[in-house]
Amino acid sequence: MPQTDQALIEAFQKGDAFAFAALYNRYKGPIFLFCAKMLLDRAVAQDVLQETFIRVYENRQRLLKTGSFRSWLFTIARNQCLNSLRRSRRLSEFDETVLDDDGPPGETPFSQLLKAEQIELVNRYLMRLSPEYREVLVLREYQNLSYEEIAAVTRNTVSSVKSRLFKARRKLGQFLQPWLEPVEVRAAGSETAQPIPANVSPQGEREMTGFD
Amino acid sequence: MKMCVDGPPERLLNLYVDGELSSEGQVELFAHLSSCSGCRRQFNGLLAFRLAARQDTFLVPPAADQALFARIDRLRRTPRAVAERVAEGGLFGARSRRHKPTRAVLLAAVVLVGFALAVWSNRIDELPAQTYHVTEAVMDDGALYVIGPGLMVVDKKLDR
Repeated sequence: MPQTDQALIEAFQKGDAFAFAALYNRYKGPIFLFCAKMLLDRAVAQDVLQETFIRVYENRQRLLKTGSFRSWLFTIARNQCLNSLRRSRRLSEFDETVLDDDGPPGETPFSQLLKAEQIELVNRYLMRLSPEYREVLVLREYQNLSYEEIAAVTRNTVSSVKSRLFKARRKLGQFLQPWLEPVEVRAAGSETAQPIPANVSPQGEREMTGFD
Repeated sequence: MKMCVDGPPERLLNLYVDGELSSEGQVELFAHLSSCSGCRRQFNGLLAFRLAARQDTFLVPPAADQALFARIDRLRRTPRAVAERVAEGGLFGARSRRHKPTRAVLLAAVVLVGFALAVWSNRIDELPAQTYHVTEAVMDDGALYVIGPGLMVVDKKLDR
C-alpha cells in the first residue's frame, strides 16, 4: 500500500532519502506536465521541475506546515513558470483573437485526426491563451485539480477561478469549433448536433495519463 | 448560432464538464442543449479538448532525474550550517544581518584608522627635510647606535 504524502514527508524530515525519492517519483510527472504546458518548452520545463524539487529539499523542515503538499508543489512550480515567462518576455506575445489561418482545416474533422495531430492542435491553441487562462485550464483538465485546489495554487478565490476557467474554455471552444464540423456540414450551415467523441467522460473521471 | 455566453447555460455546461452539476441542473442543461446548436458545438469543443488533453503523455527524461539528484548530492556535501546561511542570503550576508551594530563599529574603526593614517602621513610630509647620520659605536658589552640629531638607540645589553 503506497504511503501517504504526510508519512513520506515525515520520513524525509528524519533524513530518509528514499522518502524524498518517493515524493519526487510521485509528483515529477504532474509537475513536469504542468510546466511543459505552461511554458510550451520541455527544456525550460525540466529546469523548473528541478528548481521546484530543490525547494522541497531545502525547505523540508517547513513542509508539514503546508496544508496540502500537492497544492504547495504546484504553487512553487506555477510561480517559477510565471517568472520564467516574464524573463523570456513571452507574457506579451499571446494573441487570443481568432485569425483567418485558424479557419477550416480541410476535409478532416477533429475526431478523425491522428492522436498526435489532435494533441498538436490543442497545444497550438493552448499556446494562444494568456498564462492566467492557461494555468487554470491546465490545472483542471490535465491535472484534475478541484476548484478549491486551483484557488489555493493561484492564490485566488474559487469564484475567480471558475470565472477564468469558464472564459478560458470559451476561447478554446471558439478555436476548436471549425475543426469539429465536417466541411460539407459547415458549408450547409447545418445546426445538427455533433456526436460526442467516444471514450471521453464528461463527468471528469480521471484517467491519469501523463503520470509516471 | 453562437453559444449562450455569460448566461446560465454556459455555467451549467462548465459545471457538468467538471462533474459538479446536480441532477436537476443536468436536466436543465440537456433541455437547453437539445434546442441550442451553439452550446452543443461548445460542448463538443470542450469534450474534444479533454480527449486530446488526456491522450497527451509526458515522460520525465532520465537526464532530468539525474540532474536533480546530482544537485541534491552536492547540496548534501555542503556543510549544513553553510548551506543554511547560503539559503538565507549568502555566507556573510546572513551573519552581518544579525550583527549590524558590530559591523557599524568595525566600519567606524576603519574610518578612524584611515583618518589617523592620513593625518600621520601629512605630518611626515610636513617635516623639514633633514639628513640623518647613524653612528655605530661597538662597546665591549654590546653596540650603541647614535642617530643624529637627537636620537639614540641603546642595545639592551647596555641598558642594564
